[in-house]
Amino acid sequence: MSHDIRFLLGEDEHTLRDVSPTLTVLEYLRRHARRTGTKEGCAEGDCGACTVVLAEPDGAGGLRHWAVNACIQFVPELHGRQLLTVEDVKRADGTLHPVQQALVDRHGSQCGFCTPGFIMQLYAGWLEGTLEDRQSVKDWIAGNLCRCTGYGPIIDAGLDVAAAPRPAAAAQAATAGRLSALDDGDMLHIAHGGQQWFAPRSIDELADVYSKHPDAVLVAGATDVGLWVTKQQRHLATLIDVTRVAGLNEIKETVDGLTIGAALSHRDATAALARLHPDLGELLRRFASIQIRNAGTVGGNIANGSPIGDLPPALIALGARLHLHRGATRRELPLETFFLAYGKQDRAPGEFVEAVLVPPLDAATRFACYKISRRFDQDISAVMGAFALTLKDNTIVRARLAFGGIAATPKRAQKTEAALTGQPFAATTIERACSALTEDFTPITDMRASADYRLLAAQNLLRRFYLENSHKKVATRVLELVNE
Amino acid sequence: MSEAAQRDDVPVILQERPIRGGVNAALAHDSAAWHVTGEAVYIDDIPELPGTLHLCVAMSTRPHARIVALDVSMVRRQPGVVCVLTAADIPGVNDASPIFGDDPVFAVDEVQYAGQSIFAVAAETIEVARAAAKRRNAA
Repeated sequence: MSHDIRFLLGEDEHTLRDVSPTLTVLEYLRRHARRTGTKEGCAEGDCGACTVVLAEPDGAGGLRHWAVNACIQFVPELHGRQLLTVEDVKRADGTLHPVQQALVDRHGSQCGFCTPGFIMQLYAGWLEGTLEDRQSVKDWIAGNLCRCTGYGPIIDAGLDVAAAPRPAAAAQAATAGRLSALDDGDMLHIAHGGQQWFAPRSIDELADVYSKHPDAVLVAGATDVGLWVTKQQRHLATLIDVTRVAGLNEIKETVDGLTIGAALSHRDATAALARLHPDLGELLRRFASIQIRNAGTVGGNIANGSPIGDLPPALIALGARLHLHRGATRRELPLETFFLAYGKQDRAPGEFVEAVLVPPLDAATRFACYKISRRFDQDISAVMGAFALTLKDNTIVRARLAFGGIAATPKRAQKTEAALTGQPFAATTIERACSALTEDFTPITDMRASADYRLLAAQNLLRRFYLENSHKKVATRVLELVNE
Repeated sequence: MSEAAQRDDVPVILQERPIRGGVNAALAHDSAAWHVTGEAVYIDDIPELPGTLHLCVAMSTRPHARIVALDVSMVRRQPGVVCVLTAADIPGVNDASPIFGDDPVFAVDEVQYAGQSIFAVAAETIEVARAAAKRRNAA
């Protein structure tokens, strides 16, 4: 076991020992390392002011970079990685990096408080080479809020950077070598002031540690657990990080469908899910921000049990099955049966989500998923609907409908499914299904939507699904209208 | 046709004159280079002097309610808490509004919105101040 958090801060090697494992990366930077360029805005991963870039060896001699919200990441996440902040972006000769120069030239800062976050997010985009056009820059910075400059100049700056030459491969290889030497591959164990953090490296190690500490909080990206600390000031005694477990962050595509490891990040799951159906790609594009999708995991989104997690309804409609693991035993269950009640899942002490199996879509099945939120990008769903209807000679032979945001859990609409099954795929059937939907759900009113709105929106999603699968000429998506 | 409409039809000829001074020139923000490098110093970036206290304002969790009793004795007793301020500690008028006299610094008897200030805790660290503020007994 290894007891030190060893990492590179910029180019300098650092070791942290005897620190609280729930010290956030942002607090570490600002209060311990006295790097105050990284700002605290919301302290909940929404505003992007604290964006930093992490790097680790990519296994092919180079580096893999990704941006995260430092405010909700804990310092053990730094182990074996390079942490890059706004202070690291300037060139060695003291001149501005093209990302910085572009933002100056385009007048992309006013009060400047959000600027370091934009710099780091654009820097990550430049490293990845994903700042291709206006839309891709907008997608890239959807998780960075600016309240005074306006996004126009910032987007222009992002476009300016696209052509700047990439960093030299040799320098990246050197850094990858230094990082490999920092991580001995052993389980990390941090103990401090009554707190413990374990980062097991294999599934067996995870099963073993969790069996011994069944009261531990599993951390699978910290995009929710981070807020327990920053917003609720909760004292978390024992934490187990599942994201370092070999094999748990893999995705396998076979004829049986997709097997998604629980610790796979949303970002790494996107391409395969988009191949399964474009709506899943679109859903993930609007799922939080890139920083959050880089940290948050598929297993975390499921095991968390939130009624507003966006993946569970989509996966339930697709007929996904959940793989659970406890000690030496494994079991499998339909995803929808995992969610028992608000905040309560079918998970025994010491049991963890290992993977989710998503079966392939057959040619006879029409699928769609829709996210309805007050803001288009990076917002929590007021209603999330996912539908899979299998047709045979225009008769609905199988219906799987699942919703998020309108019940205490992600939930199937079973009465609605019954109203559809065996019926012709026609407007009259859809109207009967819309009536049945009122028996399936009694949504609540909150700041995101009223109960009436939620129910009507859920019904209208069914109508939209029908339109999209019968009269192709009708524009049914906001983007179709915006782009016209 | 009215006279006013006729006057509108008269073309207005603007004399072309070069713009002088900084107007119309693309001048960079004088702090832009500091913003993009993280070197711009904001209040929260300035190292604290030894002994600096941290304040947490305890706020109403309800949008509209009567304050029947407020007991901050437990808050005062938390280790690291230096001072607890309520409306009773305000020497002058309990009002922060510029004109109408309708914005109390700390709510008394009634809260009128969620997030309204009720009392403040000054402590040796922000963590202590935040934790202590939760130890109130309000009814």
